[in-house]
Amino acid sequence: MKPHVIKDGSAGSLISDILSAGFDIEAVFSIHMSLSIAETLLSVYRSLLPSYSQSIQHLTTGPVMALLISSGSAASGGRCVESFRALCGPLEPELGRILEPNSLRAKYGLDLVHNAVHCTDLEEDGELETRYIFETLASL
Amino acid sequence: MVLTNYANSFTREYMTSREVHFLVVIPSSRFRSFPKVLNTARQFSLSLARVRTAGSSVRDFLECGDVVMEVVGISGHNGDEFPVAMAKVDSEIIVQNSPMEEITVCLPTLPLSLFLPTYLSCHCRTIWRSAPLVPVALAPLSVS
Repeated sequence: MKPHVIKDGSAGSLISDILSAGFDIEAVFSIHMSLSIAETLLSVYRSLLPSYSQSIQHLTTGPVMALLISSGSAASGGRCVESFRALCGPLEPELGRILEPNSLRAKYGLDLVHNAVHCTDLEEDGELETRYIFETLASL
Repeated sequence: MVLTNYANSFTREYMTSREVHFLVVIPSSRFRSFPKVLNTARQFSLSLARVRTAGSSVRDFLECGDVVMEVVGISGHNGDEFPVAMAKVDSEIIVQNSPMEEITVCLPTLPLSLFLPTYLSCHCRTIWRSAPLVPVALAPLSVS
């Protein structure tokens, strides 16, 4: 959950939406990211995101809240990442408000940089990102 | 005229002296109330400072899963009513007015089941719960 959501006071509503969609939240952790941590987290998107540097900067402007999410009743067959990405909606909130108005980014995002949430891209990355954030960063 | 202080440091010290810090402990069985805690804090103009699930590994989170958080507000605003409001939202959630140093101690990586009894017995001042406190056995605090 990106800093602007926490600053706006929308964190409770966003988490409520996640739980209502049938996902379970196994753990939470807040951290005020440094530039190096934010770059490490988003490094794979360097050549993919047009707003990469602004996104990195935004992640350092306040605390982010990391949520460890499991599929609960929301997804079957172990496709938690895919199901949750669907709940997050398109990267661009404006597009999400047209195509997926109930998605998290459509409801809580402002623009491409302040798009409410970052979520794991690929199923195989789920465990890696989990361990990085909830074990490596949490122990700092 | 003698310059005694700069406005920004004076303001910072003034505001810091008026800060009120609340420790909130959400048992894992009451996690569904976590959004209500955040929304209630917002209603009372409290900001989320820190939050984490007790434990140092994903396995700890799944086995224990208690959530410890700190919310911060300014004394004298209606934030002082936050503990009373939280008791009405969910009586199983512990809310305590604590100084920042105690909250820093209370955000360990150890599983909360080892830590909470010691903390409550040694540092408890005011705990806002509608349910009576259940005596808990002191568990030795060990670091592995």
